[in-house]
Amino acid sequence: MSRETDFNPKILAFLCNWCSYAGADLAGISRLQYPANVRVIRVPCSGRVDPFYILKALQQGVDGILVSGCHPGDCHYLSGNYVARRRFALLKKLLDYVGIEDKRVQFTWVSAAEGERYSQVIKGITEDIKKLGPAKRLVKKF
Amino acid sequence: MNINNSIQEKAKELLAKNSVGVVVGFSKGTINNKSTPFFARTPVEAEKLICDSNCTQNLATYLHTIERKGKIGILARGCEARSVLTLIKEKQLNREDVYIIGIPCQGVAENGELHSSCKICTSKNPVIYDDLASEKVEDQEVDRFEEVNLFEGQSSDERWSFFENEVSKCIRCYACRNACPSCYCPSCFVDQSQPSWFGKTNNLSDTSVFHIVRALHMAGRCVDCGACSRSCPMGVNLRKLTLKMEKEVLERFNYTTGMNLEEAAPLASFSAEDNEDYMREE
Repeated sequence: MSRETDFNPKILAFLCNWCSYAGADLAGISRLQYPANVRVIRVPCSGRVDPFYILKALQQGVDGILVSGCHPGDCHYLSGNYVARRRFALLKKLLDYVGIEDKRVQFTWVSAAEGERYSQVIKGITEDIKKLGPAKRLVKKF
Repeated sequence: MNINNSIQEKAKELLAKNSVGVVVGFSKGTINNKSTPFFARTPVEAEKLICDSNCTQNLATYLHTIERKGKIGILARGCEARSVLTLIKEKQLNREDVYIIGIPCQGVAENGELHSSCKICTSKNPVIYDDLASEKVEDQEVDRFEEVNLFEGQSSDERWSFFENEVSKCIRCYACRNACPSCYCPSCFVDQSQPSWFGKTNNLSDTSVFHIVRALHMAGRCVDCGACSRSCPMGVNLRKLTLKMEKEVLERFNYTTGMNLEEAAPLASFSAEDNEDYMREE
């Protein structure tokens, strides 16, 4: 068997309560299929996701991270995702700069009506992470 | 008149008239070619004040901790003036509480040569001041991000091994944090125990996270004075990460730290047109 099929990555998804989590819910009630590699954490807003959460998860050996919120302009709190977008841009660029693989940490927008898109995103990111292989960098060894 | 005389004159006058309670500056150190931060509280003490290329600290660091009796006078070179401006902008200090004696600067030395942050300095003259100690000097035209661009050109494996190598030198003494005027949180994330975000040991992963988060916290706030890297006992290349943040903040949000008081801080504001090039494409 090839390495790609052997490896079952653990992917952590931070989904905002108002859009992406509802989008995931819609994917569920629509009976859409997507890989079971993703573990969802519901957050009030994408603006609630502190870079600490992402770094801590990488330290603990998570293979991939997805942060998803409402599309720009649709934030339940009006500007939470705009602020998050600036913060994530810097985090992503810095992680890339120090040598964390580009696709390890990803950001996207999924609305409550985009159940189909949610399942596509999860399929896509699972494939990306399978190609990258297990996380090695930044993982804390005891 | 040489610059030290001019500084001493101005400080003496301010202290004699009681218009400031203290003048923060430098005095000659106890070993050769080292100066030390000095707090002049009387006109007599003001005669010890100097400012030369051996003054490696950023004096704005002392503005949060100094005992306050009346206004604070401070000597400020280009980068220090930007730090003071940043502190005022972040509401750590009132403009009226500080009297800035601006010093056009020719750079500071480390091991006999111009420090790396001074080599690419584009703000030798203070941007904010009440009085100038000498004539302004000419600013240089220089590509500030040459080093960052070169590093970005390397492969992800090369970058990671460089980063890991730099970080492995770190002994977590936090001298960089203490030397930095922008690090003033009463409780730093590395000291917190509830929640304890990251381990306190010099485990490589924890240390890496410390450096990543330090750089993130500096984004849009670092003036690249280089005080952190000069204070580092292990010679960690700290400016590698903060310069990258400076570049991203400039390119994405068109913001340069500490240049004017009106502009909103980049991470405390947003624009609907912000670049999304880093996001997942479907």
